[in-house]
Amino acid sequence: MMSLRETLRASIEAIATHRSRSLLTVLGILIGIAAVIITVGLGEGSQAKVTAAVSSLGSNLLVVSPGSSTGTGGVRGGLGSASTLTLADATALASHLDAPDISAVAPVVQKNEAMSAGGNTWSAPVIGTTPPYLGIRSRQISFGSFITSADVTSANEVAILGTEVSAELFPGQNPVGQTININGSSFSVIGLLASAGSSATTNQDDQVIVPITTAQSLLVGGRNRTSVDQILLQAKSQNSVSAAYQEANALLLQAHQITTPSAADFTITPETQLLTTATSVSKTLTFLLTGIAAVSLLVGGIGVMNIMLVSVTERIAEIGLRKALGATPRAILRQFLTEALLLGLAGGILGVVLGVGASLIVPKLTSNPVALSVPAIIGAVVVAAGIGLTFGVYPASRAARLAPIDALRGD
Amino acid sequence: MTVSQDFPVEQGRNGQRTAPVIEISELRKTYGTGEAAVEAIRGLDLVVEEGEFLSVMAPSGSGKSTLMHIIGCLDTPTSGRYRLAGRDVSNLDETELARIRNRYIGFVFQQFHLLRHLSAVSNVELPLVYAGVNPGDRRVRAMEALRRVGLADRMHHRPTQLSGGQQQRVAIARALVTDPTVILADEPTGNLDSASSEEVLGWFGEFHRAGRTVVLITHEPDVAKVASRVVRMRDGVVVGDGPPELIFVGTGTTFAGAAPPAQPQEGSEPSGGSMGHR
Repeated sequence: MMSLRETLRASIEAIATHRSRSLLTVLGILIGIAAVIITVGLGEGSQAKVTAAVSSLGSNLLVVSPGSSTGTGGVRGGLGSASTLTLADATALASHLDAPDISAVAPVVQKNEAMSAGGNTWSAPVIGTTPPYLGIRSRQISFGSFITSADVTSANEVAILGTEVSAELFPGQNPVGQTININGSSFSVIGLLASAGSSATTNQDDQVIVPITTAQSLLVGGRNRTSVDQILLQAKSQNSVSAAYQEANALLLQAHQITTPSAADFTITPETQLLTTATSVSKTLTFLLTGIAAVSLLVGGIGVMNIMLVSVTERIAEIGLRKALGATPRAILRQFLTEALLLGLAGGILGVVLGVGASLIVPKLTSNPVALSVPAIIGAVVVAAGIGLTFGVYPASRAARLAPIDALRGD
Repeated sequence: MTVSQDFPVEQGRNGQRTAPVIEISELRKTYGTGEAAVEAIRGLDLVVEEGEFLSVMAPSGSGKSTLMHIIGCLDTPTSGRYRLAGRDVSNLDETELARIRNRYIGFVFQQFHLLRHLSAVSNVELPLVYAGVNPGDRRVRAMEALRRVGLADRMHHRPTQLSGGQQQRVAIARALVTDPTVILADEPTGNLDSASSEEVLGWFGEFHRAGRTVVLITHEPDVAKVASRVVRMRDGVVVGDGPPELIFVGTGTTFAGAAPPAQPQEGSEPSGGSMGHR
């Protein structure tokens, strides 16, 4: 019986003897594995990017909107119309006693307004809110300061600009300390928001933030001056989102004197839903790309089979001689399987090297982040070896079945 | 050269009667089926005793190769019985046949059949690899076998770096290294010039004198007559059996029977060299 070491040695000898053919075989697997690593990396990278983007919005976030979406009691003041939410609701939700799992509350009113400063005019969403807004939305102030509780209490005419608004109204200048005119009222600029980029639907740098009380009195005019468009809630942690949801729901039902939960005139939406949707899109993409890469790997495997078959045909005389000298069919089978396994393994390892190399270069050329995962790399090598072995079975068993006399005659 | 020391044989040296090395009776081999069936061997009987130097002489197409394959356990008979060293090997499977070949037969082929990518000593080691001999012992025995055939200084040469005669000597060393019961040579001089042929045939004579059993298969009377016993085969049956001086009367190279002297030369194409890896 030929030992494992002997088999391994004979296989390495055979691979080394047919260098160029072995190299070509390895190439097929190599490309497949590299493709898998890059596509999985790209997929995971974009998934991480989406997750990071969404969690920068505040992933412990709950949004209370006016109107019901449950719809069992007929239309109950469509979503976003005549608001049923008030500043009093926001104050009630901010109670740490009644709602211990809610860490921050920010009521929001929002309206598009025309604005001007010097000779420049611009139009942007104006958001009226309270100081916790900054933390809930995970925003930063790059210059000056954010609105304070005092600004809210006395409805001061102060504004914080997004970078894009600032660039339009005060090109090349620091806007802090300047004055802008919104809807006929003068506001002094007290702060500049750090850029946050744009999410899928809104440009977070194209906005102006003012105290909610100021917005209610000067901007939203005709509407009920205590109503708000949304109340943003931040749960203490990601784990307490559902507890925060329960507390907010109970508090608002009570405040609105509604006894049946299905008759609620408000809707609470966890922002995690957004996260789920976004990640599921990128997961689908990853799945698709990986599928394509897997097909290329399959083609590589068929390449191994092809070249192994050629190799068997070419080495018919060698197989015959080995058999004549006492190689059992099993010994021949093992030799060819080992060869296929080694070729697959070599392709896998070289593919990982290429894939990892490309994963380090791609982010430098494009804006796409590439995530490398160690389990994926180990998996890729194992799969490559498995493919070599699987597609080696047919050629190897053909070699093993060759009759020694036919094989000896074959040269 | 002190032959008996160089080629010792372990069994049957004490004059005791042992079972014949080769015992073939009513052997038939048919290729194909139905109308296309060709009977290559048609009821052949042959007994070879321990220590005999036998040549099977037959023109090509007479079932010579088929007989060589069956004696060498490379193929099995369609019917009849073949006992090798007292063991019935007529109906063994591929794996068992491989082990029998490894243990009992030392092959020498016309085409040498050396592996081109291995050195001389690695080629000689091959049968020992399949016998499960450990690498250290293997190397020692292979080097010893090469030394016996006078190739001590060519151990690490590749077949392509050796002459035809030297390649065949490597093949002979490979046949010897397992200490086989039978050395089976199939047209061993077919690819060699006359000087190398004479040398190779000389080695077989040495083995015989050392007590080994040698079966030489050839179509050339000049080659066949170096043996102590010649079996003439024609159309799948034995047509003559005896010492060369009885088989070849008169000129010594002409058949005693009605057969013409020179047949179209089997394997006469000058394809010399080791096994091709194209």
